[in-house]
Amino acid sequence: MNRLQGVLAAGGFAVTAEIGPPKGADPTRLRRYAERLRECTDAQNLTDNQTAIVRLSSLAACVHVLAAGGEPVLQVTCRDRNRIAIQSDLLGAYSLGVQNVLCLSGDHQSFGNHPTAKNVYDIDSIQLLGMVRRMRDEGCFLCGEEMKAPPRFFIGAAANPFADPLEFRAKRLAKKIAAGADFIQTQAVFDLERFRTWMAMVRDIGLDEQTAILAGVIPPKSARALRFMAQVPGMAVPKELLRRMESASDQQEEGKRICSELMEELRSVPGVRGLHIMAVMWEDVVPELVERAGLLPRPWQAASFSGRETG
Amino acid sequence: MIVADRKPLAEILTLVRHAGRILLVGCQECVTVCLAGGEREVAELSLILRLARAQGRAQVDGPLEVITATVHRQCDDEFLAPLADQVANVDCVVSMSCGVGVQHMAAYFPHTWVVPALNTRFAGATIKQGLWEERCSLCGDCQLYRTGGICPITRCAKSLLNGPCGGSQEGHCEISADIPCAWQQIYDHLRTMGKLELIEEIVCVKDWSRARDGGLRRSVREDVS
Amino acid sequence: MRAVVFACAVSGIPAWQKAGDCPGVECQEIPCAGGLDGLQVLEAFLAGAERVFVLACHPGACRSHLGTETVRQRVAYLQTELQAAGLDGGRLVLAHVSPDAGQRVRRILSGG
Repeated sequence: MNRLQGVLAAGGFAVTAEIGPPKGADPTRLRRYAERLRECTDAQNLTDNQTAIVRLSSLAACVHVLAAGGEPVLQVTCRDRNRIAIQSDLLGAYSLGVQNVLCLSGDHQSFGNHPTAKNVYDIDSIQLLGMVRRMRDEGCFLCGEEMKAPPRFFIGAAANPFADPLEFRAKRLAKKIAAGADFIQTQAVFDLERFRTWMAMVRDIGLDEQTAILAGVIPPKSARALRFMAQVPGMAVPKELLRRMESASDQQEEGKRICSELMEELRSVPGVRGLHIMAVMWEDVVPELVERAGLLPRPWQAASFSGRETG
Repeated sequence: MIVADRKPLAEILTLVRHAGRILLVGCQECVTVCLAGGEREVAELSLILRLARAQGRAQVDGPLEVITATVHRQCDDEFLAPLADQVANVDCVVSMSCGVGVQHMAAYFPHTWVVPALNTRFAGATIKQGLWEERCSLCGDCQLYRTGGICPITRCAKSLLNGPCGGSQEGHCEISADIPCAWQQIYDHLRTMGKLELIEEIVCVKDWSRARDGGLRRSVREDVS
Repeated sequence: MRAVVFACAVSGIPAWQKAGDCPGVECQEIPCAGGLDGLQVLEAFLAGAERVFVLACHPGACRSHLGTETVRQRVAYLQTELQAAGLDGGRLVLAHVSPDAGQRVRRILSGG
């Protein structure tokens, strides 16, 4: 059992973090981040050409993370690959030691640096979840053909409590769980009230017991960064947070403080089983945030932990 | 109907730059309705091409003679046959039809160079005067029974069958505040119709072999052939 | 022929009539500037007109309400097309006039 799955299976509180692969072929920084995050997080997500900007592939980045002693989460979007390519990459990833996968629709290519590209969307994120689960549990490809040595992924999905229509968001989560989501990483939470409303809907239909929900957070590095996030479709940033950042004398410190407060609040929301820290372009801050939250050492660092050994 | 719009004039001028005499052919079907290739648009393009060539500028070969015609339907042999004499007397045929008409014309007159003056855009409908919107992706496996008559393959930017994605906000799509979120529309309509259970079902992967992905598509009715 | 004028029957025509003699300028009446026919404009240029003027009502004064807006868009479209064809788009001029603005029409036609 891997670290993330082990922590969750043991009823522990999970911590994961996101690492953005580089816009180039030099893995030095990526490896450095992996080394820094491996001790303070249970798994590290490697984004798949996030916001449709070309970066080093998630799969290759996962391998660098493994080499650095981390535990990668392969992110897979449906934007750039069809069912043939995705299944092939999944087999390849698992063969290289990647055990976690996060299934996403993907940001539309119009956001990225190749807006004239053709998108794929052969399948959607829910169909992708079903496909990965079928590979694992039934040992067959999407077409029904059996395979030898199926990949035994721990399967994740995203959920956005801040997108519309709100009243359907918990039901869409139910679809993702029914399709195969073992764990959920949510969109970054700034609007606690809306998150609590969503979680109440989730608990009402018992979804928090069927999957492990990790609440997403982003430490804002500056007021400008937070203002930008407020404009991203599907993100909600309360005005008072913006004001707080803007009036802070040390914006980085204020950003850390806001993030720590959110982490503290989120831990107390019933049904939240972990945190997912997306410190975009600020991966270095993650150890401090986890430390401040009192979430160190990680459970798998204890000698008695039944999961895989470190390294 | 098929919705098209005219190519930029500079591009059309390039396409006919070596021609001295052209036949400009419109079509009375879809492209007439969407004001791209009907009789009027043929007359307008004819005038503007002649004006451009009369300026004697920009890599063009002197004055241009334009013969115009608008046929009932460019995608049917019987309406192309009467053009034979005119086609024989020009350097180039410029079709103001959709891509189907252009190809049909090129196949019907295999010794004549046929070029398109329109960009064929989509299968859509008139929403209001001067506005046409895509409605069908011609995927060959209609899903509208699941979604209350709103096509997610066409109207969702990601063609999701299990939407809406996390980018749906305040009723619009993540790619633009001008584009409604198709899945919000589907949700609202199903709620009105008391059929929200439809959106809770997981829709399985789609068979794209009946779409363009399956190669050249044919539709056959043996009882009428 | 130096210029062609397309004048709205309500405002442009009375103003044109008050402008006095304009040699080399040919005037055509249209019921409303909003009904300006682009083909006629293009034909006028093709026939050798140096400039084409459209005399429309002032915004808000159009009896068919949308005429001034329609003609603004149509003229803008035609100017783009003329420009793409290698002509100066400024050779097509849209002017908003009152029925008694004879002197102004004179100035407009003389390029002032």
